[in-house]
Amino acid sequence: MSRPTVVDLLCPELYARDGGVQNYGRTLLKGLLQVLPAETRLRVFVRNDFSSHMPVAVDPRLELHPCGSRLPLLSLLQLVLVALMATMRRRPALVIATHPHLAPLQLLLGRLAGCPTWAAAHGIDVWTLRFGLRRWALQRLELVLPVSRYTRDQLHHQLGRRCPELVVLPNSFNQNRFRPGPRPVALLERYSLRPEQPLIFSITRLSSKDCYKHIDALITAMPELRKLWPDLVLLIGGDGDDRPRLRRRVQQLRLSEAVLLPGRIADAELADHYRLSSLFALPSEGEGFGIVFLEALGCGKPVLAGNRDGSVDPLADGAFGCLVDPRLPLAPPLRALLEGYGEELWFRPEALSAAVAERFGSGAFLAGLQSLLARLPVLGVEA
Amino acid sequence: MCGIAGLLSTRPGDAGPELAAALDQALAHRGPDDAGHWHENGTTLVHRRLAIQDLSPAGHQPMASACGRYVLVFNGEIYNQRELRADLERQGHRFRSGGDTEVLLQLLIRYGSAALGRLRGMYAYCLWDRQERRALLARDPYGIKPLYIWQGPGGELLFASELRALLTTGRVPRRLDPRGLRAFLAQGSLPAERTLVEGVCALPPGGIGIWQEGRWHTQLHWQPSYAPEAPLPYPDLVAYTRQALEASVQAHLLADVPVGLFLSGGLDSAAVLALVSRPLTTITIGFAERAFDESEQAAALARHFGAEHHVLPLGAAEAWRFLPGFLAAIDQPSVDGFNSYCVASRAAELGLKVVLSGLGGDELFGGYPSFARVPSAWALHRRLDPLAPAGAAWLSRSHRAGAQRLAAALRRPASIDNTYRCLRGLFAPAEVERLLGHWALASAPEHGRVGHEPIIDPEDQQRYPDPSDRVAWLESSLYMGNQLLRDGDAMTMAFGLELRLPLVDAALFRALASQPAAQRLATGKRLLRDAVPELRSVLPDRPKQGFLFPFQPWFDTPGSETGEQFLLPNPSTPAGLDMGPWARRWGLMVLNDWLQRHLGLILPTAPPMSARS
Repeated sequence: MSRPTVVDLLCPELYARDGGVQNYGRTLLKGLLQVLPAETRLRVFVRNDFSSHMPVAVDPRLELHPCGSRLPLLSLLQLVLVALMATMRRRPALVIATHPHLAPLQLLLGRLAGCPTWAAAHGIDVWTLRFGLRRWALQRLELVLPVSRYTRDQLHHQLGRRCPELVVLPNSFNQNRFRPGPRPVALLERYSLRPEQPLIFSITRLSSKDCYKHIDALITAMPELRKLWPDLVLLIGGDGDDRPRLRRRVQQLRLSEAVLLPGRIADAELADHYRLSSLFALPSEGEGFGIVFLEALGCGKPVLAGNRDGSVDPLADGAFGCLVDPRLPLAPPLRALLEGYGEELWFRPEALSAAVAERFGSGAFLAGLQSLLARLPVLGVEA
Repeated sequence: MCGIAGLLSTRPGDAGPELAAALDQALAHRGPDDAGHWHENGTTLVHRRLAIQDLSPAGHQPMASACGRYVLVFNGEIYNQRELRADLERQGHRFRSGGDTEVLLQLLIRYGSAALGRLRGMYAYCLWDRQERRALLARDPYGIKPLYIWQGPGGELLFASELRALLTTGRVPRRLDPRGLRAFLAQGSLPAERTLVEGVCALPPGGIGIWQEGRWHTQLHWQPSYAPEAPLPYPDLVAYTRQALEASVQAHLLADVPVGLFLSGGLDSAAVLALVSRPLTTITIGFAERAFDESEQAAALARHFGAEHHVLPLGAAEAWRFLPGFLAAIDQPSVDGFNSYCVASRAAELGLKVVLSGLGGDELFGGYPSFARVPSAWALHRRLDPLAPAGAAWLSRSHRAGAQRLAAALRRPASIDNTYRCLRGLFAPAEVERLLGHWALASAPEHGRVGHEPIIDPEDQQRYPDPSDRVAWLESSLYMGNQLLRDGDAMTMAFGLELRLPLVDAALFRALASQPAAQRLATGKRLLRDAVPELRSVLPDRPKQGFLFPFQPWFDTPGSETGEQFLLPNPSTPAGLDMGPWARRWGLMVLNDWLQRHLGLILPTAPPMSARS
């Protein structure tokens, strides 16, 4: 009897926290289990997660290796050792990484096993790859899977002539969780809002290094907008070292009642926050993709996003929402959206939610993953 | 390209046919091909058409939407109208005409003010929503197309493509705005937010205005940003710049009539010629003064690229004959515009309706000496700041124009903005006050430092990461925006000619502005030169010239013919005021004529210019 085929998955983090890369890793893991034949085993090596983060019940085909340690360097060392020993024990047919930072280890494992190496690329992780081991290793992988056309173009630019094959595999979202619904009463009460009060919602990490997200521009658009909607509220979810400065800015502009900065939004309340809003806006110019756009669209909300980065992909080049140059004043396009100007689909929540689910839901992700895995006959996946 | 005007009033009987007729007549030169008026309950919209796209009557304006709710008057060109049209058709819209007006109308109906971000072009328009009784007015990012506003005491709003048209209605009091006068004397042109007529202002470039029930408020829909993105290696940047230039030039060729080019013999217009993919008619000016003459260079360029070339030979005597027409064509005075008037007259004689120009290349690629001088002078000012008051006092003892302006700069805080205005200004503030005193206008209230409002927020490091970026925007908004663009529009429209500027394009700006200033603004416009390498064999690498007129020798050479026989006497100036620079004499001559012609204001006059020079 032949031994089952093995696929290795390398992740920087999976269950320890919530974030774009972690979500992507969990989606990919779930997708691999669905697409790979039943006899294929999946080994998962996670750098930062501890055993306590691991789910209690897992698929029997799954082998989880949490390598987390209090000392970051030790985590990396453990990850390298555990993955090397596993490879020596049993050579995988494919090594996939959910993050390009793991490319050097991935390349080593791939060379030892003599198997293909694929890595996902998200956004900020590949904006500056001019020199170093990581770039060298990425150039030598078989396939890189950027999450958007923008990330793909950045990779082309960064990796130059030795760029490996790039195939866009877009992010996905939980279409069952992010669905249209009424404004949640609990949140209306928490934020002291009337049922019909207009509200713009935005959510992002509030880091002083992330001025490219143009949160300031959203705030400075508020005085103009409040001339037309005196009770308009801007709710900016998320935490980070820039939150105190934003608070001061809000106070300077005398917008303390109009701009709310409640901090981190609990994952369990995220969908309800989208449902609370009149529209969702994140006018960034450095997003690799922006899963938050899919979540907001899934909840049937009109969306405003930047047109200089990967945001154009979740918004389907403007078919799903309003794309603007985030360096320009935001009051005119926000006003237009609040007044109901735009394409019909943007203002039909159920239809919008269905359209985004069809294009970016789990079905679309699985179909993309399946066609990629079908390239490797050894895996036995049919196209 | 057309002329638009209108009145928005809450009083149903406010708009009469007389008003429409006055506005129509005042704008007739801007649109010889068609005229249209629309009236309803206090609202009047007027349009004069210069047919460029879809020459049929289907492009008639004011244009109403199929549902009848919206009415549009529009002046300008939407260069990406075909892409926008295709998008709207994919969404199910069926068009009745082939022009850009209907595309703009539909786009505004569908996307509201968010539509502005989709437009590539030059425009000024008024969209009237009959249901909401609300008007949306807007101007393109650079303000290539003009739009003047006057709001009456009852909240009514009068607007027009030209300031003079507003005056012909009889509603706008012909009163001098002393703040406008001060600003003109300081800079040689009027600032974006002010005119010489009290109560009349322009909608700002990149601005939106909303009028409803007598309430009027404005906001911006465009603002510049030079914030960096991932810098490209130089060879890639050259290829990328080439691509962006080609896209802009191709977009600017969209027309159903012949297109010409003002070819100066310099790099900018030569680059446009090289990037145009079809034969053009080119026009240049030739001077007897060799130092100013680029006509041979222009002819060589035209031959090289297969253009049909025409030269307008101009000596002092011929030039002065253009003066009466030029003065009559001025909508707002400036120290420039004469060159545009002369070359536009030749283009019109040739039967052209559209001309391209290389204007804007210096602002985009760092062609002016100010790109080097202003940051150096600013740095020096900062280093020597404690000595600045003493330096200012010493310099102000000289009556020379340059010393006076430098002294004024040293008296102000060290900033790029102040240094730029000093080097680019006409009269120093102390000289302005002396002039006003001499003309018995000194009692005019100053109302702050008009003409010195900061264009750039000094705190805004993010949008202007390099001092040269600040200079680039000051050149674009002050010199180009307040002077070159305004004159270009008025002087070409005087002949029913549309001026198109492929290097003054928001999409081109977006493509290039985020690349590092050191490469984008490199000396000698190296990036532009490298992006259009086919010019190397035919265009020598030499300092910029452009359509410069030999005014100084014409004014100064003893025995040379001057235009005094065509001119009003120049206003008198206080003794000791340096009137050597030709721009000062020219500026006062134009100002004096304008004030008398449009406001009936006569300044004290001086002996003939030649007698004083």
